[in-house]
Amino acid sequence: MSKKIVMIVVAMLTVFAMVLSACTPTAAPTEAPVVEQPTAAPIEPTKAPETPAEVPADDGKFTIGISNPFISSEYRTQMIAELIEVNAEYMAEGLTTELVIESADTDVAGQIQQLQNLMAKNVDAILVNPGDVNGLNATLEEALAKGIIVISVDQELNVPGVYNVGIDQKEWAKTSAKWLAETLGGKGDIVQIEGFPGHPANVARMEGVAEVLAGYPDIKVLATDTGKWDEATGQQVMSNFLAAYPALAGYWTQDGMAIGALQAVMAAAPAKYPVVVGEGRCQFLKLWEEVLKTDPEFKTIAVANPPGVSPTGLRIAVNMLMGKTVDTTKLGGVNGESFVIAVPWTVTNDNLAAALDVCKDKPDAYLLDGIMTNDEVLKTYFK
Amino acid sequence: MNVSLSAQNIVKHYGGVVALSDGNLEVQSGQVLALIGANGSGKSTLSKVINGVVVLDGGQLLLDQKPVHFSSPHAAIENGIATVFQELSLIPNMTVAENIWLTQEPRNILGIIKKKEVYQKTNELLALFEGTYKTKLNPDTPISALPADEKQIIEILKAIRLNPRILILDEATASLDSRQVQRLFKLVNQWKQEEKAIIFVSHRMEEIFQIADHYVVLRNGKSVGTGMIKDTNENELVKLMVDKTSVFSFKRQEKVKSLELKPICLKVKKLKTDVLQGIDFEVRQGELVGIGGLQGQGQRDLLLSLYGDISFTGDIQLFDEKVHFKHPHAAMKKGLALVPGDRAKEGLIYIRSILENLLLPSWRKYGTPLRMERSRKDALNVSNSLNLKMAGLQEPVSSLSGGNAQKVVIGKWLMRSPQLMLLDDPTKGVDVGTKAEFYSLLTRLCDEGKTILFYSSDDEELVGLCDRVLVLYDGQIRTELIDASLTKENLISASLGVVSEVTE
Amino acid sequence: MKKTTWNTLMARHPALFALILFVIIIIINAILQPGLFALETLNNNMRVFLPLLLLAVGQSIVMIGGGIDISVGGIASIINCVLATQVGLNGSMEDMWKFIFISLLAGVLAGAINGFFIAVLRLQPIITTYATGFIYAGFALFLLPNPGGGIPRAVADFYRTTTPFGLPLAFSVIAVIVLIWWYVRSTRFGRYLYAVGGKADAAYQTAVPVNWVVFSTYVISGLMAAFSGIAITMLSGSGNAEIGSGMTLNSITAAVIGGTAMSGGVGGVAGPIMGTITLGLMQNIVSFSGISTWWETLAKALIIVVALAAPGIINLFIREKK
Repeated sequence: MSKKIVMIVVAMLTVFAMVLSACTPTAAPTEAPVVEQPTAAPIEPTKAPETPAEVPADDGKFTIGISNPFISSEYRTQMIAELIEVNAEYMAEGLTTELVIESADTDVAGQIQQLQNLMAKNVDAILVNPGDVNGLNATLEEALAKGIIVISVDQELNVPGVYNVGIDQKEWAKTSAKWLAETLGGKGDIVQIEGFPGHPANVARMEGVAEVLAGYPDIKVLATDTGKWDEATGQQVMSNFLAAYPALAGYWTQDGMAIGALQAVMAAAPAKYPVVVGEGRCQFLKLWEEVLKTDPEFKTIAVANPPGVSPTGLRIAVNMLMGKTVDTTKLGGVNGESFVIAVPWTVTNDNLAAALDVCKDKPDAYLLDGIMTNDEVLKTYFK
Repeated sequence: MNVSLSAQNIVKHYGGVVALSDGNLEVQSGQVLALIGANGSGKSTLSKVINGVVVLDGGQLLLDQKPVHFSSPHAAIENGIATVFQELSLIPNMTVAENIWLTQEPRNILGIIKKKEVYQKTNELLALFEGTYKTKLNPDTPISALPADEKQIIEILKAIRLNPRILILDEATASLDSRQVQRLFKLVNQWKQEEKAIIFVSHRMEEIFQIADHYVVLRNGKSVGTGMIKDTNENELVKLMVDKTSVFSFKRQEKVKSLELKPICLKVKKLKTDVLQGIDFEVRQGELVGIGGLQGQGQRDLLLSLYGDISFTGDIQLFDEKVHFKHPHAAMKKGLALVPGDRAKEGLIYIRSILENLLLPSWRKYGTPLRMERSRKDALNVSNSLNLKMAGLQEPVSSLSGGNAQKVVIGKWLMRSPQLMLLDDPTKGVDVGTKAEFYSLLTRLCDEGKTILFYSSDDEELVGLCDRVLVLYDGQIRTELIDASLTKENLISASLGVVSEVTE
Repeated sequence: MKKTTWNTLMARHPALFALILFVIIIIINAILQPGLFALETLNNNMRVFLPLLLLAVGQSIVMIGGGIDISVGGIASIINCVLATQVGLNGSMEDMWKFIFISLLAGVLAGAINGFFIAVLRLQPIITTYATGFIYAGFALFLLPNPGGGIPRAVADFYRTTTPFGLPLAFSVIAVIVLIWWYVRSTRFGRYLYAVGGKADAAYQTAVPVNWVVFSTYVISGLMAAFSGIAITMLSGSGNAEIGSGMTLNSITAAVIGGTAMSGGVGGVAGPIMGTITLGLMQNIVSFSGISTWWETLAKALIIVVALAAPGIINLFIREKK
């Protein structure tokens, strides 16, 4: 009996594998014009000169590697798609080759392997979205020692020689916190839903919020809980808060949790909506629009956390590779090597229409974004 | 190394079931004691108490006149009691040598096992059965690659390697051929010379009379007779094993003697599997035919091969059609139904509702588009006809008693109105009241023209219920009992391989 | 029920398939990445594989004994956090040694807790270690809520760049493991391990100390998880309470690819070692084959599914022919 079951399971696996492997080649052509074909071609030449001469890459073109250890989020998907798009511009100019992308769900050891593979492929610059604040340091230093330009995007690293490109998380949080405090008229009861406690970005953001609120002694934070940066958890936490504190004046939250929180409030259908902090995803903007229909007095703010910092980082890398000099006076951050990118969108009721216009032909998961143009990058950060 | 073992008033129950209520035996150096009894008489339990596999609930064990308590097989082995287990204590993935020497491997000072010595000593042990092996086994052959008889030999050698004072042979001859049995008996005689005490648990009368000196007969968990083998005969032993006081209360109605007029429903010729050695029989429509014999004589193989669940050779004719089912589904299509004995494993999905279980084999009938109302009505009819005691069809099967659960297994096949039902020990663990209901259901089904092949480990119900009983022994039909010859004594003596029929 | 030669071969040498796969993967990788055998590349790869390799060896031993340990990632995380918080980036070498020793004790203790629940209280291995895994991971988070801390740079550099005998450090570690394993297999304990995993009832009837053997497999697994935690700390040089969370499943995958049976009683140490390296090189192959980013995960998962199912599929075809 059990043998039969094993046989059936194995047979099913075989079929499953065959179906999937059949999918891969058939599906590839649809992808081909955009990504597949160019990838296959230019990678070969990059590898060919590996053995004879080390640097520089073929015909003076630059090869840029991407390392991303987490793929299960819209932010990362949008980031990768935009990187490919922006690199295509430089490829058309004959400046770069196809990107070498190492992107898969993996742990610290796996990302170290990603970086080592990029080095083995002789890339000229690495854009890394680090999955660990310190765990990659030694490996990144090895890359620096090979003369590779290393740029950490989205997450600030404190490694001498590694450049950071990203928004100022603290300032980002302060913007919405300040707006919340002022809209409340400096007084009222609020709650906070935070991301992963201990995650560097969350720590920086919550610090910013605390700094702002310190200036408004009449605003009382009744409770803080974690929504784990997850929409469903955010919704659940907010439902609990609403049950415990029915007369909330407002709340502060961030990222995807804001959608869940607002949905919880909508489910409770209050006569008067609290003043809430939102986020820059199209889905949130659409919910916002919907709430306005029932409560025209509804007030919220969406400060975009743009995946576009990564393609902006790519532009910075290309210009550095071309030998242009960075204006170090423009840099800041922990190690004085951070390119701080301005937040592209701060949406309130005043400019909601414009933001919704952007969302028109975009999926719900699309994040309001901004990628600096090459000229902007040159003007802002280079001499 | 003189040794004596005495078990006195041993009691053992598993949950609420009393397996042994008063087990007694005594054995000494140089003796072979035969431990005999019918199915479920408590032989296995008594030997498991002695070798420490189960812990006794009452009574005491005396080893060399001193009370002992074995809390594990380890304790029994320490005291020089080794066992050849019926279900074998071999590790399939390990080699012959590794199995034989497990826990007793010779080692050097670093604790490293001396492989050469093990190999050589294993060969010496294997030589005890030299000439009886069918495969070229050597100490490095994995157990899983061996046929059943050679596994049994390894199990015997493994016990002997311990050089025990007391050796329990639990059905050690069941899978051996006659040459191997004779070799074993030669060895047993040798061990008697070496002052070992041997407990020989067996069903085979001729072997008992060949090798044993003493006997203990168990019946319903009690020892009911003991003595010297030379002072008794097979018929006396069988009588001891048979319970006179019948608890079987069901009286079946006198059947109209019209079976001869009915067409032949099932005709089996030269049916062979790994276990079955060639079975021939016929069953007429409406007949209730019992299959008896000791457990593991091929009864299950017979039912499963008829049902297409295991592969076999031979001819099977269903009414006028020759069939050879390769899959249960093919058998189902031709109107066969198998009611398995292990309800929990093979018969029911306990966490699902009674309705779903009843419908399981019949979905096609009610499928595309789903006719739930129709199916509910049919299921309700079947459950009513079975007198199923339940809170509702939506209740999970786990809410039912054992007997009612077994009715669901039957019910799910009745939904398909089968021609031929194969019952695999269906009354195991069913309470007496439900059993009686069950019996009347079976007779009613036969009167309605269904044919039933009924294997049971309960001798009483075979005798009381069936029109005819086929007794299997060693994968063959030993005897066919019908009318006057269908008595419990005859059934048991045929089961034990006793040739002459007991007449009173 | 005749045994085919393939079946017998697989039964005698459970790592045979792992070896075949290992060789194939190495060849494919070497074709795609010509510099694979350069010392630096080799060392870079091996130092990344070593933490998982240690974990997979421990996992394999538990699985041979008939159990499974899904708390190993949690244990590795604890060790990482202990070292990162207690030694620190500027810690002394004495501290480093002291806390390596403490880490090993902690691993043994964590394994003993698992073993106690499973061998003594007779709880289900998968549920027990699932639960204790959460406790260990939670404890790691308690020790180090925010990623940070670290070990002296010199220690990390030692791990990353030492190449004794002109070979990666991991090779020496593997040699030591194989040597110890060879010894263990040659002792009674080795036999007990396979007996208990193969058929625990039969082993019990043969007077094998079943409980003790089961208990010890979890202790060994805890110890190996501690070694793994030390290795991953030396690789990353820093602390992160989440560091081991992804490693548990990978350790099981590596053990199974290495021919260790989930049902127990079959396997060894060479298998999971090859399994881990195979698993790691698969990542390289996917990376160097130039497959589109969006298909990378699927491609890797497919290779793993095929690797896991292949022995069964081969058996199926052999049976079909008969």
